[in-house]
Amino acid sequence: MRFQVGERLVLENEYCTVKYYGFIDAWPNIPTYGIEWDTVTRGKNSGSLNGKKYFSVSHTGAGSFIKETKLTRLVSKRYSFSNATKARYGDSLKSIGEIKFGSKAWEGYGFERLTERNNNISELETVVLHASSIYDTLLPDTKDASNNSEVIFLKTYCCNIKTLDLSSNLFHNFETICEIISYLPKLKKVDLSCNRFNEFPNFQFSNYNFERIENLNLSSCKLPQSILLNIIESFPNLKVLNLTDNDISDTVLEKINFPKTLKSLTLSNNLLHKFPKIDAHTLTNLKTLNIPSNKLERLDASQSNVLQNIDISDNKIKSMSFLDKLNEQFPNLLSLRCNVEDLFKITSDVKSDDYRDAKHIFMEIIARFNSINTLDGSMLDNNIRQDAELYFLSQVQHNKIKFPEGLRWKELCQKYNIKATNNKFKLLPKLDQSIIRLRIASDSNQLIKEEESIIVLESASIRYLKGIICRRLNLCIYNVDLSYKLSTGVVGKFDKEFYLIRDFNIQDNDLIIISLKSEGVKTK
Amino acid sequence: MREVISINVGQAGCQIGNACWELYSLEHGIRPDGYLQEGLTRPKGGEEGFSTFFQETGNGKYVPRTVYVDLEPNVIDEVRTGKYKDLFHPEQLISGKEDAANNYARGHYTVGRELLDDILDRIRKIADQCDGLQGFIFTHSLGGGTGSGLGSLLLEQLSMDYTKKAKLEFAVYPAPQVSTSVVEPYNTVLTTHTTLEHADCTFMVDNEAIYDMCKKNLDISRPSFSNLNNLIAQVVSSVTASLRFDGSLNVDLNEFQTNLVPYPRIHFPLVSYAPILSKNKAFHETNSVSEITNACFEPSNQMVKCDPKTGKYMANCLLYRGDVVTRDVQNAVSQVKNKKTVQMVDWCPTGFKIGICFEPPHATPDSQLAKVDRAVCMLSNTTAIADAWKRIDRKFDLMYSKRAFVHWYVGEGMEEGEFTEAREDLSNLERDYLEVGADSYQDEEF
Repeated sequence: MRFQVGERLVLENEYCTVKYYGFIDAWPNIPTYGIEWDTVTRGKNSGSLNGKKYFSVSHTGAGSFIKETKLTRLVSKRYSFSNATKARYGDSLKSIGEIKFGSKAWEGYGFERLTERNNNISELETVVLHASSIYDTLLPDTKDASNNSEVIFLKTYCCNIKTLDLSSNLFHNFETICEIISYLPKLKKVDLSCNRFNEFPNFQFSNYNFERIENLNLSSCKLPQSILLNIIESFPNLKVLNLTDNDISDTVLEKINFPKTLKSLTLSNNLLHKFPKIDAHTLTNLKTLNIPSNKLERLDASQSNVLQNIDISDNKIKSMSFLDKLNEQFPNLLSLRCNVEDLFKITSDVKSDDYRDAKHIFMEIIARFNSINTLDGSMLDNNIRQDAELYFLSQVQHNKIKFPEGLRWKELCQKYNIKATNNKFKLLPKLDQSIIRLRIASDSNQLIKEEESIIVLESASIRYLKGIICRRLNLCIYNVDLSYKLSTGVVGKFDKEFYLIRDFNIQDNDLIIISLKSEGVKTK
Repeated sequence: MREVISINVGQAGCQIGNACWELYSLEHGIRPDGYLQEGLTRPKGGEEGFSTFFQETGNGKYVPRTVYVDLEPNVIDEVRTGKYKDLFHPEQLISGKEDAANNYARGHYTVGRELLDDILDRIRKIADQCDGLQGFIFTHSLGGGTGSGLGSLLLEQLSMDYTKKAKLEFAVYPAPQVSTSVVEPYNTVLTTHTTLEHADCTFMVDNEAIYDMCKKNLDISRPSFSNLNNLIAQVVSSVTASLRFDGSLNVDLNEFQTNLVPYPRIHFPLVSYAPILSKNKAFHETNSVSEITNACFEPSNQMVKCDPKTGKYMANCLLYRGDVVTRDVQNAVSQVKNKKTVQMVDWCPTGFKIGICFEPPHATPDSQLAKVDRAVCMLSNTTAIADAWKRIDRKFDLMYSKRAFVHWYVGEGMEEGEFTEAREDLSNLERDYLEVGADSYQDEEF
């Protein structure tokens, strides 16, 4: 059996792509395959041997040359879609069998029904064929044949499939996938991760348009730019799209024409430096955006009231202003993941004062956002938010954190009743109302020459009032009695030391009279 | 026909209850307002399975068979005003005005007792609407005042009023990481003593274990109570899945007991669950049947921190959910068989029981858990769980040797003798576990 260049194989559980077939100088008479391994470290060279280049690889060092005889010996069997499905779900094993554990038996319950259920493939809604060594058998030249067994299988048995998982298989022509999908009328969700698709010039993407597919996973497919753009064009109604690990750069991302319906987009492990553009024309309905493990450092003008969840952990964000911008541009953000611990490593390099550990930054970030309720996965309740905001305000007040007087600052000040001018605080107006000014006089002129005034909180205790008066007059607290004369004319004595001032109906400008107890002595 | 009433007591109980019902509703296709999701004519799970947890009212609305009880109004007010406010009947939500202040005695004797009649009334009403009530599921914490005090009081009462009905517990075992009070060991020991003979089967959930899972598996740097409860709910849901969906193992509560409880006092199965995966990691994992089965035997997937390698298994149930095929299970099980660390007691004839539920697990939108195609939950009665009792007993002894904080309990009318009595009971429990783990015959060779 001879493999075509571009075909995918499994050799000893390692996935690889055929890149070259022919003779090489080292083995002039032996047919040899040049292959590229998916696991780069498994490779021995980059497609060149003794200075001569036979094929090129996308990752340096991922290539190997292997004799045809060895390859045919090692290569694992490949299956067609129908065979793989039948092998997994058509298995007629009715029970888990006699398994003994020492002297004890294992008992399986319900496996007969499970097998019965699985055997009835045409009723299955979820089909998972992860790592089943499926390869392209629905190639264009055979598909026309109406008696193609694959087509018949798809038509008769697969009409109820809603979720299809074809991850880690050996597809290399996206047309096969298109063919399979076109025979599944109810399909909503496809997982194609860890397949490698090559470019086929004859294949017309425009022949296919999959309006029913809502969820597409293309992670670790290392898709070439042209295929990527075409694939996304063919799925106009996607709601969830996963493009993890596809070497997408900023320029490629700009070219992608995402469907309007897209709600969740995952772009982790790519090469992005810029935050994707979201505005009234692109990604309008996006709710969830995951861009972890990229090289993000810039956020340009983007605006969305719909975006709720962002994951930007493990990036190269250098300053808090990035986060502030996120808050301004996406006012309805609910969940943010930015890995505070790692963020800290970067900020502590930049700033010299290292008093802030991760916990403080965590609180600070909560306060910088006005609406998030989940940070790094931790669900936040109102108490945490209030703590965080008050902490943040106090830090800004003490000039330990610099924070521009933007919209968020105004919100914070308004929420906590703070008059903000140049980030300096004024007394809380609420406090003003709870302060009372009292006049103090003594019953004999020995103590005070003239009336004095004193400011206290109305919630202070009599004991406290006594304390400050005594300190001012240099008296011993035990020698003094206080009485009061209200503006209404009521006169009384403070007999309960731990009552609060307001308990006596005392108001502004009321008179407090100090008298010495009989044995009163002036102390120092 | 086989209705189950869930009773959630105390702050932890109610919050876990919330998370659970959110998950149950999702799994059965019910919207937050109690009506069916679009495109469904019947709730998912089959008539029999579904009606165990939900009651259908005349106008096509579905109401959970549950009661929420708390001594203070805050937590239940959140239910009353939250997203799922229309799912419950107002009568199902019972709150008092004065909390238990982390004091078992307040929950059990003074404050709690005042609410008791009211609660029993409401439970009676719900029970009357059942054709064939099979039992109750309690969710409460062991460390809090309401959960421990009122929880055990209710359990005592129900065990008198509904003698023959099964009573299962999900009990949250306290942990220092997320502790709210110093007297948690007291409450735990006291409530365990009171409920030991009334509960038929208690699934413990160790906050420390859950906390570690949140940190390590779900990448949550600072897990909050909501995070913990969400994960606990997932576990509760997978344990009850066999009751709610058509399957063939553990279709009723009594079967849980018969399978898992060899002696009435040895009724604390260890729960393990796999996979616990965060949303952002899910793409890299394959989650084959053998992987998740193996993970169940790892301490990192256990709900209680203990080392099963040091103990022996008395009974074991594996419950698979979602897309599995028989051969995969067979292969996975053969791998477990070769594990040297899995030891069974010699006096028990059965090995492992394995069950299947076709419905895959769901994940709530807020949860950090990834939605996966398959999951497995293992319930095993192992002697290793006695570690948990040892740990709490030691903490109890440290405080009680100095009689610290005891006056709070005595002040509420409790007798000090109850402390020593409870502690003795737990010592006996520890000894019971030693005894069942011992080989029944002597080796003839040394």
